[in-house]
Amino acid sequence: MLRASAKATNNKDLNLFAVTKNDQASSGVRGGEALLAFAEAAVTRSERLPEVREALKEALGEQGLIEAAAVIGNFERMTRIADATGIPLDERNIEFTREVREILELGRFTSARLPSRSRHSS
Amino acid sequence: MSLQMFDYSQSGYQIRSDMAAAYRDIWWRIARPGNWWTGAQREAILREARASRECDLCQEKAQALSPSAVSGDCGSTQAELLPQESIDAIHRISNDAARLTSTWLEGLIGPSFGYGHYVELIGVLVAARSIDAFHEALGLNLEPLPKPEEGAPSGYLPKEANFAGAWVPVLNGESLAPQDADIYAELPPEYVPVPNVLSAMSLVPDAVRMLFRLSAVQYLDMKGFMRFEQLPGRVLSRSQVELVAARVSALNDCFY
Repeated sequence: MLRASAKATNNKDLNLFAVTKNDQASSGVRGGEALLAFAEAAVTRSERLPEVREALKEALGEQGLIEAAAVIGNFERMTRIADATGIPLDERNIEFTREVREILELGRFTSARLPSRSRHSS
Repeated sequence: MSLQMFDYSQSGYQIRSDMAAAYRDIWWRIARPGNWWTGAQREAILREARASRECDLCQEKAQALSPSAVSGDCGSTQAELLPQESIDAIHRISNDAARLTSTWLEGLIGPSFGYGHYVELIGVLVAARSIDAFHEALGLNLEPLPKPEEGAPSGYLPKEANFAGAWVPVLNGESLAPQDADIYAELPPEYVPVPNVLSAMSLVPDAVRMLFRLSAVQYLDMKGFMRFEQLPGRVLSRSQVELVAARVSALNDCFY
């Protein structure tokens, strides 16, 4: 969806590696570095959270900060639903997401599941 | 349910009223008896989920090459209300969800802990987790737990549910009983078949209702999912939203 949203707004600067790299490489999204730092600090419960929260507020305003916190909450939920129910990737999204999955090497995630296989190890 | 729940007037933030209203609604729903758990048990699931965030054994398991390499049960203060299977599930889903397996789940499921119990537990846990995560990200205190309502679980299990690739039975949307017909009603036509992540908890239809209620205020309503222009009333662009979403998913090692 990130790539689709960038295409829809003709953003040619999008750097998908910013999502999976820990060095917060430039994302090509406005305020992206502050957003990534905030997401990382919140999910990892970093001591830096107050500092990066203020930086995001400065970069994108209070409402931007609140909306980012809401998105963090949303995906703290959705990732656990996917992992706890063992859903496979939807058939229709396999081709759509193939290039992104390969570029970002998402298959290395322990939760990686395609429809034709399931996990049976503990 | 007190109207003072999720009162952000002293928070220092201008939280949107629709978000606060949705959070109050979720707290009210959690406090009621569900299909498989009483209101007191649902509140206990929320309480245990919060406590699990500080569980030392969970941290040890999360650091191990395999969670099964670390033996022992996580301690709990909710053992009088919740069976051990549910305690295990709450701790694993809270702290190490990406390494859950079908084998692990099959080991939990039994006569006193069925798929309905498991899915309802997920629904309560993740709804509360998403609200707690919002508060934590903003540096706000967590909302006090809801006061449970009396009553017995309904025991309702949709007979149309079946295994369709996930580890749990789901409703795929093609055949729904009248009482469940609303759960996918707002999805646009391109959402047929229903995406797996939206049908994942449909064995307990109210878990899907809670999911949509929260997604609409924290992310997008389902009608807006395939629209990429600036959403009315929102500050972040769709790309900014998706950047955060993708990073949170990556940090949780979530492939989906």
